[in-house]
Amino acid sequence: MVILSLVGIGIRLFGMNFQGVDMRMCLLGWTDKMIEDGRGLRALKEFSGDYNMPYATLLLLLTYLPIPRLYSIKALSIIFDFLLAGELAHFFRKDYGEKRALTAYGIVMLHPIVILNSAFLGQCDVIYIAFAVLSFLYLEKDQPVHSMIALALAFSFKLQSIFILPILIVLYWRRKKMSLLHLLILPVVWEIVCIPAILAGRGLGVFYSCYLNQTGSYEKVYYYYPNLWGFFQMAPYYVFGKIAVLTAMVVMALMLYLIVKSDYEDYGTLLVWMAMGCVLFLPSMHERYAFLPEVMLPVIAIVRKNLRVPALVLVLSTTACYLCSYFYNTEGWPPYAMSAIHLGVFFYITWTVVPKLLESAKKEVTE
Amino acid sequence: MTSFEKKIIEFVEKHFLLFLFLFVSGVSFLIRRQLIWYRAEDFSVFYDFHEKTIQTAGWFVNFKWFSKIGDVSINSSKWLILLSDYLVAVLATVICMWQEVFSGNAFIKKNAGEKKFGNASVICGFRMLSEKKKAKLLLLYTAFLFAPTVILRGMAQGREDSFGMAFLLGGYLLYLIAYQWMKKNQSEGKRAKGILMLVLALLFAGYGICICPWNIFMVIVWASLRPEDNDGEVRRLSLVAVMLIAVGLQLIFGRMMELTLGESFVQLLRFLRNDAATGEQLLDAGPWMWQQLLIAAYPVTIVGGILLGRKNAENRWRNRMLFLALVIALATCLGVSMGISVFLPY
Repeated sequence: MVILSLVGIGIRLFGMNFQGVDMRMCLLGWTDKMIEDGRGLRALKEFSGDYNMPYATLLLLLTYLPIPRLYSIKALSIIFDFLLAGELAHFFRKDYGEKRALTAYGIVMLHPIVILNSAFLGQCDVIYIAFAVLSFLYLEKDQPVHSMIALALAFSFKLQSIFILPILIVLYWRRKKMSLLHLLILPVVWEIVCIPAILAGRGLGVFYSCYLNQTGSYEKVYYYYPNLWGFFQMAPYYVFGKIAVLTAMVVMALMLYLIVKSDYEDYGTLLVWMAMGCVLFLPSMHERYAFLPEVMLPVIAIVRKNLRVPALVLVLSTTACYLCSYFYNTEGWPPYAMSAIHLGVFFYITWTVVPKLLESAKKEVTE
Repeated sequence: MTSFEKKIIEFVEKHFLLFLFLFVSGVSFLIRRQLIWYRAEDFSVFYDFHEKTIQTAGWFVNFKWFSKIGDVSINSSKWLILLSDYLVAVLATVICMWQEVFSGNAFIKKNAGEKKFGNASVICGFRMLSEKKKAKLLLLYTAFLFAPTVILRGMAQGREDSFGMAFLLGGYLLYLIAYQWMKKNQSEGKRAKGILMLVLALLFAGYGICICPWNIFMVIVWASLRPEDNDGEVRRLSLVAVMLIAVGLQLIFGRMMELTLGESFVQLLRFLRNDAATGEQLLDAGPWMWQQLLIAAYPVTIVGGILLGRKNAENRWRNRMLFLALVIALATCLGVSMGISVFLPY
């Protein structure tokens, strides 16, 4: 584990000086503005980025550190790389033993998308993923309170945490250990993590208003993530946007039906399957929105041999996407081809999961 | 979990299939409703009555009917497609599950008896289905309703493939029922009814092919039936009759078009050599292939889906048709969506 950590850190060091567009225009720009505003609560009041207040608060705190902000912002994400790898290894150790736990740790530490996202781009996707996965793992172990706290923290960082919800609904439905009353934990946590912003005068509803303002801001059916709508790049959003949302709803409803009616309990595979279903069928998906299935599929493939090839294909194609978009500033492979690859991976997983779901469908015959 | 939540979940689980059926049907309607007023530019081009149009005479007759409805005549014809899509989804699902549910299920025969063949045993048969088969039924219905080719060819581009296919599948279903009634151990009265039903079935099927000539792909399904559902001689005679009826209907519609619009009644075959949009002769192999692929995509997708969905279709057919159906469906999705991308609506 120590060697894997050292190798992981070593690779990440190569990316520390890289400055992507988002880093230059957004993260460094916002923190510059915070310093201009005096680095106090006023900086939070004036914060105009499209991240929610908890991350803005962390950015504000980073401005106090005596190291360049380019490094401190990236270091924050890298810490969560370790946390994500650690939590997965911890849960793998319980269920599958030491060797596989180590493999899970190594996969996250050396995952090219995780490295590119955190160490090169300085994005915070790994933060919300770490909490979202934790929420899933806790609920699977029938610890709903812990799960809801983790879920609330995941939502505090990014709205894309919503992709974990389908599998949580499945666990809620199947296990019957969690109550809807546990959802009351969410607003409490959100208010707590927004206390600095509330004190700065942003109001009690700052958490909600931030996300509400974001909805509808990307009015394109295809928004650079090669999903089904990659085939409809120029299709008008006013018609096809609603169609895409409705299609995704049907896909999710069918998945839920098949799962609920079966006794199939491989929740890791179901998590990846449902999260991919969301990203591949919803409109306006950004390149980085599929981070959850991209990280989790190779991890799940440790114990599911039939998922190893699709995991490899997904990681390679997504890495190609990242490199083209963020490093070479080209479209790379035609979006149609990339969409076909991603849909192919999804259909392969569906092909392996659905027969098992149908086979394990409850056998009773209704009179 | 509170007891109230448990009760709600139990209630939803008990009626999940019904809720999901309503949900899927409702969402499908909303999606199609969203596309009623959508006008891809090539949609308008197809409805332009240029010379050497490749549309069949039967298609023109339908269009003329629907051009009388609503303020914007072109779009109002899409309501017909919307209804036909639902009909096709239901009929194709029933055909897929025919042997398992409505005809060959030994459990139903034992409990309901062959004499009760009809609505009563159909409902009885459905209720006796296992959860697995109910799930399959819903998945098939959803797949036929949401296949990209179906939505894009139909509601987005305004083609009447589903209208023709609904007639063809309706005819085929009537044929299956007629065949049950015409078996040797039936009474004379029932056999006579069976023959009448068979005539009706052939007329329906012939009309379906007349509207969309590529619906002839359905003969693959006809040919792939297992012996207990079909008799070789009856099948061969039926196929010949269907083809004759299709040609006959085309001549009648063609004559009607010749009298009203001055169109030639041999236009049934124009799609084989003329460009759909311009009416010019297709001289290069590439565009010709593309046109045939796009026209054939709908019937191949539906027929491929039926073959895949049927329990007893032979494996080699399933595998080949699976591949073909997926390729055609994806290629059409790609092609039509590229069309939508290039031709922005106005």
